[in-house]
Amino acid sequence: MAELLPHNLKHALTRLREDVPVTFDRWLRRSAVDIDKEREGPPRRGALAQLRENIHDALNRWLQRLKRRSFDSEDNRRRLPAFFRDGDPSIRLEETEDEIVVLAEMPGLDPGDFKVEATDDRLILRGQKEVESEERDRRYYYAERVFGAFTRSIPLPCQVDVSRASATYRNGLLRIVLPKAEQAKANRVRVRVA
Amino acid sequence: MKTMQGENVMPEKTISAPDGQQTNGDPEITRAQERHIPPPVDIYEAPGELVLMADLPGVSRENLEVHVDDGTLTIQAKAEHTVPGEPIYREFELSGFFRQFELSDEIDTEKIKAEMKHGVLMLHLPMAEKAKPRQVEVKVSSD
Repeated sequence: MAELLPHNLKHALTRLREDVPVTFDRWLRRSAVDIDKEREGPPRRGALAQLRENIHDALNRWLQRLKRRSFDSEDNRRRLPAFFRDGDPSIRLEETEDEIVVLAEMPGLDPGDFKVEATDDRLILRGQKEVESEERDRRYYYAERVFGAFTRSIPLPCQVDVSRASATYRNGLLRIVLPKAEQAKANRVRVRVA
Repeated sequence: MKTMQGENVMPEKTISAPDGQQTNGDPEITRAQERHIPPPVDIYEAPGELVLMADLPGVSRENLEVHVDDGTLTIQAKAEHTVPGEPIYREFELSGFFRQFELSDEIDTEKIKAEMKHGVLMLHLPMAEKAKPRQVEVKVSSD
């Protein structure tokens, strides 16, 4: 097995193996707390739903790490076999004096297939890319494009003014412009280099 | 997550990557000092044709060039989006796209049709008449 996996993937898988029990431990501890609370207060969210969410989070973190650590450039990412690629759109963040601009590659989606949510410090992209046809036993020569549901939560480098955010989707590229909050601009400090 | 796996790839040579341009080898092709990335594609059989779908996010019809020259299909797109800001995090480059395929003479290159929607190119590559399996109509007389 070892020689089948590139070194960086092996590393990422090892980390995943470590992460999962940590997640379980955290959940077990939390559920113990929840059970105590339930005795006093109103019933809380299902423990199983919580567990599923935690595992999902752990897997997401693992995939993000896989992308950033091992496949830190676009070229390397495209080299990944389809199985290891998730359907998450690739993104790009740009900063100007007054704005944060987020670009996301989302080819083949209809504007109704995805949602953009923003808070003052986070941007969330959710969507679903469907296979064009239901044909099951289609004969493929090449099958490199990825389909399925995706969720991407993008931390923003500073506070933004969500009320003035705007988004355009053209040619499969989503562009979201987030004006910086006045406070974030005020907090900017110029450091003079002597 | 649904993905189409490589096991389904057909051994036949109706369409194939030209020598030295297998994308798993060197995915970046440098042409005239511009960076070009090979777009991911799906190619499948449909009745009487092959269909090629290529993800080309950010590419408009005007910036796309598809041509067949001596049996080589070329898909090429210019990078067009520019952002005035400082890049602070990036998972993709604002580069162009470039990819080639060899077509066998089973494809009728005169009749190739292209559509572009939401950054996805759809190419219809019709099979030449001689390559199509011919259906022989059998008349059953009812006497």
